Amino acid sequence: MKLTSSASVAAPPAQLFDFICDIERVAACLPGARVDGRDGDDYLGSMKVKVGPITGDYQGRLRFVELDREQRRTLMRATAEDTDGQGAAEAAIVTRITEGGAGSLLEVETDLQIRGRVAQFGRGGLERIAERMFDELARNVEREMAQPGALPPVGSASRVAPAAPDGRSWLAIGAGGDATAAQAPSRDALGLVLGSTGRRTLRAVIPVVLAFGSSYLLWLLRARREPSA
Amino acid sequence: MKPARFEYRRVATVDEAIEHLSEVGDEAKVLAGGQSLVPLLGFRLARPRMLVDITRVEGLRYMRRDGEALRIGALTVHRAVETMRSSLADGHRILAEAARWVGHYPIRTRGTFGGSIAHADPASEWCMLAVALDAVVTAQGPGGKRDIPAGELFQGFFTTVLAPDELIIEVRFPRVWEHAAIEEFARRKGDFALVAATVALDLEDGRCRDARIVLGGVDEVPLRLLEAERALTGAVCSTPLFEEIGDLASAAISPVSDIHADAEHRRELAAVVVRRALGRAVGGGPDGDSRPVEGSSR
Repeated sequence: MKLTSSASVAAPPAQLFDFICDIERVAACLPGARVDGRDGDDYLGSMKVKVGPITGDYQGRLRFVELDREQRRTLMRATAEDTDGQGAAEAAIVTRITEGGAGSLLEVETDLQIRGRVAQFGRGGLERIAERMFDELARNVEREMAQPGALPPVGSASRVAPAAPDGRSWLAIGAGGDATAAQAPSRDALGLVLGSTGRRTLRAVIPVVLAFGSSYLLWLLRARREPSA
Repeated sequence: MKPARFEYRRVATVDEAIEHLSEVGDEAKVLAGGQSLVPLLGFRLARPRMLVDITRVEGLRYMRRDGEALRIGALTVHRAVETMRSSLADGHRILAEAARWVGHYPIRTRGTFGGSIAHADPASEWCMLAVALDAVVTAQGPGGKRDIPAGELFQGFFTTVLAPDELIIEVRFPRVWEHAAIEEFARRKGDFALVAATVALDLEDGRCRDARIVLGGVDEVPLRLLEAERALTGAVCSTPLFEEIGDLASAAISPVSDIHADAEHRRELAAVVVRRALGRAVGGGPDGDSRPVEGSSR
């Protein structure tokens, strides 16, 4: 499955490129995701996702295969697996940054493969959820670039108040401006499902994280009413 | 597959359920009819820490008329709605009709109205009807009861504005609709609809005074088609008009492709089910066919 998205970010291209290459800061912009460490060239990461009753806890790794500072282009490969075996995913992610829009135009192409039970029950919606995820991610990236540490603090593990007046639904997304704050253990990604105000705005992307969370596959899931089906 | 380990609490009252939910929060799930949740547990796609079983709670299984309004207790099973007596169904016949599309018979004898609404499946008949017919959902939490218009309840796939410690106790359909119909297309009997449509009309001398058109299965939540409703309002009902409205419905959605149907197919189906539902809502209809179409049941 291929997902393409783009977002206009109010920052100079060079600065945005540096940000994209800083996996830990990018991860901090995606609810539920975090970087757990390094293994050679690989970044180790994990992501919790929760869509209604469906939960997943994905762990995986990501590495830069190409990193072209002149062209401001990167190619990343990521793999992730649910810790309880409900599914696995692989992604190849290409990012390109050009001048334009509010400062920079970020384009992301993700080629995603999903396997396992999750894929088996997959059904519509992935693209839409991915879009929304990108929107939220892009807004968080923009906010984070404009004012490091501006993201909402890591919340208690409870669920998002979905009717938050500003439409912002992340709860537990942390990023106190530095990577350590982003590594608080219990964040969840419920908000991914909830925030809809951003849908129309930036269709952005920092897929890196996306990859960690390829788990969003989960979203696809749909309970069948017939267990045998 | 068997479910992952969970704690199980069978409660006797709503208050007791809320107590458990408040204590465990997001990691608890309410078990009502279990027709969606149990398969999710079996596949371990859902792994809650605690199940709060409300099936024995008294006083949530009822259907009552309250003037024009029809009030349905949260634990009322689909089958009860399907077979409700005519004094209840008067003006709400669409509900009994829609119940026939819900899963299979055994599912309908166990699955509950409130459970289906809380599960918020975008292809659910009840969620679609609730949005189309301006239903009001009453939820109870530690702070008491609150009413939530169905149009504000659904937030996304399987996601509602309900707090983890809130329980749906009643769904109220506030007014009668004399001209309402549901139409769906699914590949096999009992499947989730690829596309489902509910229409409800107020008619006066063949002219449409008010209209509701809602699609299920094409987006994350039941989708109300405001533009198509506007085009219908004030117009004289006719076959060409209904075709036009079907095309508007088709143009208004942006479904996604999946292994069940591609986006283009869903768009075409949307036009068809909307047209058919309109025809049936006014009686007979352009297709001259009021039976579920072969291969389009559930």
